[in-house]
Amino acid sequence: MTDRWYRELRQRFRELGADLRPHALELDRDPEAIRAHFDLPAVRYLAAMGVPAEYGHDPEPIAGRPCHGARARERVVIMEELAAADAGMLVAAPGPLLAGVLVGLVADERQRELFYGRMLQRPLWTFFALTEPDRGSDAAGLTTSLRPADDGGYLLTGAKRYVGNACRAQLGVVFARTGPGPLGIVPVLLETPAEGFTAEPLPSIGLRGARISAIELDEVRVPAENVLGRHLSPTRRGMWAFVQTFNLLRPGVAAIGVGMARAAHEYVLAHRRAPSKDERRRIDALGRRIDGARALTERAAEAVDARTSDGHLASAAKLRAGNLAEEAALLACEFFGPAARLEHPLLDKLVRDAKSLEFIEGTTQVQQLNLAQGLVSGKVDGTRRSA
Amino acid sequence: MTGRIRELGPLLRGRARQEGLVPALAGLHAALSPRAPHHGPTGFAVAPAELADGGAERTERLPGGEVVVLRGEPGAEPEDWGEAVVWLRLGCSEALRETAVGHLGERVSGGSALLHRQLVRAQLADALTGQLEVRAVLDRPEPRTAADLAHAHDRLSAADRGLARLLGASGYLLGGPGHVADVSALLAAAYAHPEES
Repeated sequence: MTDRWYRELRQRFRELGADLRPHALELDRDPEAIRAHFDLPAVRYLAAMGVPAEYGHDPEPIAGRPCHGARARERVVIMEELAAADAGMLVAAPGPLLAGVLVGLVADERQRELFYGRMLQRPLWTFFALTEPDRGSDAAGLTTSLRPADDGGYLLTGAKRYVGNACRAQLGVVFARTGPGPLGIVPVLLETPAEGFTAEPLPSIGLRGARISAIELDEVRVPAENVLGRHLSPTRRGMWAFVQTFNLLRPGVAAIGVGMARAAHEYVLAHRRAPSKDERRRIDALGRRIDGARALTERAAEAVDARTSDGHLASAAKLRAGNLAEEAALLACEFFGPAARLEHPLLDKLVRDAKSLEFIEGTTQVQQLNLAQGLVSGKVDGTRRSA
Repeated sequence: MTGRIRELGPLLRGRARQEGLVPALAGLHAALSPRAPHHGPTGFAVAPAELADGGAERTERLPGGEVVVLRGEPGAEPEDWGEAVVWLRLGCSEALRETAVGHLGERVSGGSALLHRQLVRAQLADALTGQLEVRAVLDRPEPRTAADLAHAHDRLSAADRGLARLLGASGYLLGGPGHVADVSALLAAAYAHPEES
């Protein structure tokens, strides 16, 4: 794809994003309000984003070429633009996102047909359940178990936390353990409702459209054919699979951060009348920081598209853009006096929403450690060192 | 500054730290604005729900009770109010620090408690430095200006953000410690004075 095509893509999703912003505060008050907006073109697009063309996904052409959203480089443009409109609406929209990327990496043909087919039938929420209570996303400590059942299938038992959209999803991926160590982890495809599966929303400070949920799994039946990556060696599914999935998705999270920062910046440009010379300088400086984070995010997306294991740039992008989102929201408040959050509901929402980026897909410290490891192992500039 | 704040300040700090933001906020109003919520320089008040006579702009359900944000006309500021709010927020911030240390001590990743990680300790130290700075400012014998108090609010808000981050997603739930920190920031929004321009 050419730079011109990406510019067209950006312009198109800027137009589509304009339909999301009017619903931002409504969705913040009621995360289920998204159900009334399935007909918005941006929400319709997200409902199938990432489904490959060969499964019947036929989105509108952008400058003569369809954008399936299957590449990280496409997704960072789409997600930045829609997050700049409203990140809450973006994450509330049904669609295959995290689960879809994992399916693309490890599912067999039957599983792909099942998953993608369901996604194209009608808008469905999906979930990606890795994090467990008191253990974060520390995969080594994962305890949800998958054990053989009498009927040749499996039984899934355990608990998951902070799983986006799980309380309203119809399809999802759960990581569970069949044995000890990193090779004992497998992802399974779960269709809900299912006996023994319960998911309750966890009311959150912000980004309420994400509907983060707590899942309880009590001997949930999983057919053998729903174990993802059955045809692959253990080294290419569990731990490896979610590391690659996060590498592919992390630039998208960074893009949401860039979009949120832009929303704060644009709010100042639109509402701060007659800024002083010093204020103009500060507004411009924030704009340059957003540009820098965008450049890094786009490079990170190109890197993981070229090689899914190349995640250090994605860590850098997420680190920079995630922190910038919160800083930009706070900087924006400074232009409107101490009571900015009380007088400007959209700024207040941006401050609350931006806090979420710290723990989505790895904290600041996790990204710092990833980056440092990438540096000492020679991934960053090809110079190998002994760690 | 009066002699009264020398007693009231540490009292509110202790109450916020031991019992929580809502009881401390009730104590603040009982001591300095017993008849009605005090509306700060931009007309906003943040008060326990039982002090409000309806008409809340927003309601925050915290451990220990509900806090409401009210909008009205700016009121005459009771003496010591601004400083008392900083003491209260300092106590809330210290309670958050204790929660974070407890959480990090119990949370095991890669075979050891997160509290033993250097990056985590650095973030704790940053937050602690902010709190110690505010305490030092409050302990000075000279009177504190509105600008001093605004600076103290900024330091506490930054410390709280750093500490809430250390709680991961659990710091992002309504009714949890991150929510208390967010409402504490609203106290600064309501009661810090705009800079003179």
